[in-house]
Amino acid sequence: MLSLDFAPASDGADYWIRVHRRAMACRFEVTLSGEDAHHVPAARDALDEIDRIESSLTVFRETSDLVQLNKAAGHAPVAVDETLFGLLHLCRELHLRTGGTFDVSTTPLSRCWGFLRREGRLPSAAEIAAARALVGMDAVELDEAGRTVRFRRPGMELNLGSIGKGFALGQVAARLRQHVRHALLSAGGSSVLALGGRGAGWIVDLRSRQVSRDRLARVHLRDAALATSGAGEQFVEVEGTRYGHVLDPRTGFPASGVLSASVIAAEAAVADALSTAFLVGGLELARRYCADHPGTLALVTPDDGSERPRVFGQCPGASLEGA
Amino acid sequence: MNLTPEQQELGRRNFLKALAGTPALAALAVGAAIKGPVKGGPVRVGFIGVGGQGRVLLEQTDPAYADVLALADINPLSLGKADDVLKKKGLHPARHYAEWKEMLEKENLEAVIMAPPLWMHADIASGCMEAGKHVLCEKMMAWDYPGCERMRETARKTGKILEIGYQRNYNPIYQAAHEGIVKAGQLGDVYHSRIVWHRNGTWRRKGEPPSADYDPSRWGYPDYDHLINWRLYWKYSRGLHAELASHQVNIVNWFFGAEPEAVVSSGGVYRFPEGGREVPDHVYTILEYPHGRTAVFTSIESNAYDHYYEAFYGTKATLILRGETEAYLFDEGGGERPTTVDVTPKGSGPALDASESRSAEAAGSFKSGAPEKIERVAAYRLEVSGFCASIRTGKPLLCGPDRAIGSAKACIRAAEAVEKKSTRLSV
Amino acid sequence: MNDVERTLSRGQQVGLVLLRTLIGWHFLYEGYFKLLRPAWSRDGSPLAAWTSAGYLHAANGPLAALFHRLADSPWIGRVDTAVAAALILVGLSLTLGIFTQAGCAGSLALLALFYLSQIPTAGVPQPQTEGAYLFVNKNLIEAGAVLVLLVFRTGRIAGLDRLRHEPRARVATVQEAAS
Repeated sequence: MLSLDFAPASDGADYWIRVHRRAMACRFEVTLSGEDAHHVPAARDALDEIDRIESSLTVFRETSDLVQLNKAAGHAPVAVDETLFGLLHLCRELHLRTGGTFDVSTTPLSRCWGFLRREGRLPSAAEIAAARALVGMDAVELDEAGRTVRFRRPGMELNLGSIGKGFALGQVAARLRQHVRHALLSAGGSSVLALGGRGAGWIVDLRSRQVSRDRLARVHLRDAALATSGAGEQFVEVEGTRYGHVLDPRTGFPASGVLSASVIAAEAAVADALSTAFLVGGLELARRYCADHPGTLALVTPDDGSERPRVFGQCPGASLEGA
Repeated sequence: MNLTPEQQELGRRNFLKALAGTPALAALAVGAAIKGPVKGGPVRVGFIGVGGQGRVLLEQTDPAYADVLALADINPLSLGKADDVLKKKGLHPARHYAEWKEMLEKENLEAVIMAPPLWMHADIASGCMEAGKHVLCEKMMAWDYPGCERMRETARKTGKILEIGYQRNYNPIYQAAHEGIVKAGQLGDVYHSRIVWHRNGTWRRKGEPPSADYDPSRWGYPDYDHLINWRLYWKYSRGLHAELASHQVNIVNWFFGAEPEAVVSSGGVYRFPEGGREVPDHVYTILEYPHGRTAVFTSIESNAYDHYYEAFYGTKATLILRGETEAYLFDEGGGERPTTVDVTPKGSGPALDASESRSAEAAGSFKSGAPEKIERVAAYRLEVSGFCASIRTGKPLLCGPDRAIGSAKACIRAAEAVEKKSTRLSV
Repeated sequence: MNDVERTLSRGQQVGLVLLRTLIGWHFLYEGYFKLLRPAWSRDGSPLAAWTSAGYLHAANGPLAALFHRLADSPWIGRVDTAVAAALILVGLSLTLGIFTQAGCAGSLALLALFYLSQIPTAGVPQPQTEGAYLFVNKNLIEAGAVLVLLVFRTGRIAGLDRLRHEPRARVATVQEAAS
């Protein structure tokens, strides 16, 4: 304009307030802009919600609803609360939509690969086959009327690690939204949810330890969620071959071919689940899914030496810079 | 001249049409006077006292806010080190003076930033304001209560800005804690505060005089040791209470919204008596506030485990502000995980780095493991900038004389209570 | 009543003069702000002295080479003063409606220069600007608006130009009244 000058970027207070707490083995954080300091109580209150969700969903506490479910559902239908039932419903829906690549019942496979004890080993074909027999969301019966869950095969187990953080962020956001217009929520950096967003939105840099580049992309988020999964974050090495901890439920082998998969979607739980699905299903699944499901944006970096993410689809409220 | 009503109306319309744009011009003028920017460049400042603390302020002076024209210090070594600071910042050199009064006479200054030994505060600050300069005076306000009163009165009389340098007031973590936790009622009722500043080592500094014949006696220091170790002698200093406690008492006053009514002190020179040190190396002070609230200050020079923090113990939760950079909140009732509040600079970069899942120890940022916290010294930068902004635009100060005098008065009394071995002194 | 007034409705006249005043203010304030600097915003942030050098350096378009040379030239200071002064003169002209046709022409010339220095060819939001533009940006639109003012001779509807253009009419009115 007539200013013949470039406007300095400035908006209110020039610092972030980060309210955080340890939960689900990671750091849950609510970021507020400095001028929103009076919302710190609301942020704390929302973080309390995570404790509640964790005590219900964790597999690490004997008393959790999920552990109780895993113990009993192989023998008889188990009634669960509305929240858990809704989440399992979403898991099954996503399982179907992703061609079986997203599956919360892979625990027997993880166990046979030694991932649960962090002592990786190469299982025999028979062991894998035996474990695979106990895997499959299609064998989890959800009865809407009685709100009960039953495993068709005894020995099945559910683990919500690949969707739990995103789900928790969604619950936190629902609570926070009553008081706060702008906040950025994060669970360990792998699940991020933007509430509102001033100006161009919340700026989030997407990085990956799998690539040498400083960042994969810069994302502007406004009322949208971002989740990232990577194969090599946790892995086991057997006779010189690295096996990532994310297993392909279709083959029983660790997923390969993708270094890092990020998904932006309206719901944090969905983004979380899809990032795991695309890590397993690769570029092809990401392309197909984003075409069939508008409002999903995926950045998938294949293991081809390019270190460049391929971008599929679009999501309202999200824009990419330098992808 | 007789005009028909029609002619009058026509003339009036013509006149108004001719002046169509003038209301817009008038509005522009009024708008510029009320909301528009104020003309002026960086504030022309001089520094008085560029020892360690003066140089911290110099280092944190943003050239967009202040143009440093001159430095005054009775110690040429300090002036040399201050030159290095300016050079490192890529700024033009400043002229040197030994006498601050000479600097005021010869330089065209608008403001003075001063950090000389405490006993000189009242004389220099008042002298500068009387010479028409605005003053940012490093804490504590003055050596004695009459000195504080004189500074406040001079500021009132001259209409000059007087700000006392309690950088915590400008620190975003304290602002966030006050706004988001204390004021928001997260602590419940707070009856107790603990303020701690523990170090392990002597306060005494060693240094060679700038030249063999250097004689500071005309400035009131019998030898060079008394100049560089002025903090250790009652004549110049109020000891740990002035140099350390006053920062923290200032915070308690802010968060309590009150000032102490009485102090109880104990302490002595227990560990480092050599060299004729007068001020205690261990002090323990209880500060009594209205409505049954009490703060306890301890400062020791024999153990640094606690380092320094301000803690507020409320009926609902505990707030601990540690090292001017971290805030922790613990709910009463146990079991709950602590909530941590960090403050990080915005800059032009991302609000967050996202990546594959990370463990709890690794936090928001990718490279360092945690978002870069606001540096402690950033508060000094905000303080100097805030002072300059106040001069140019009348932006309110965060620690003017009325606020600063509260902690000064309490700390002076606390130091007296130790010195005189008296049990309880009212403030 | 002149021909412009006779052919335009009252609403059209008011609209045109309002448009002129707004554009005039825009120019006037931009010029005033440039001359005012260095300054401080009311919230206490310093605003450095203004120079167009950085902007000219970033210029693209057919005149880029010229702008770049200008940015590096020793008279960039005078260029800055001239730009600010031109903005103020144009702003006064359009706001007050004095020498309106010349003011419109000057404003068109300035807008053309600004447009040519930064022609939006990317079609996506640029750093530190709002909105996305392809070929048409707000400078061009403002130029279009000034063109409208130019052809409608709005100085004759309202503004100090009336005192220049219609002195005889006024004198006549007064004489008639006196007789």
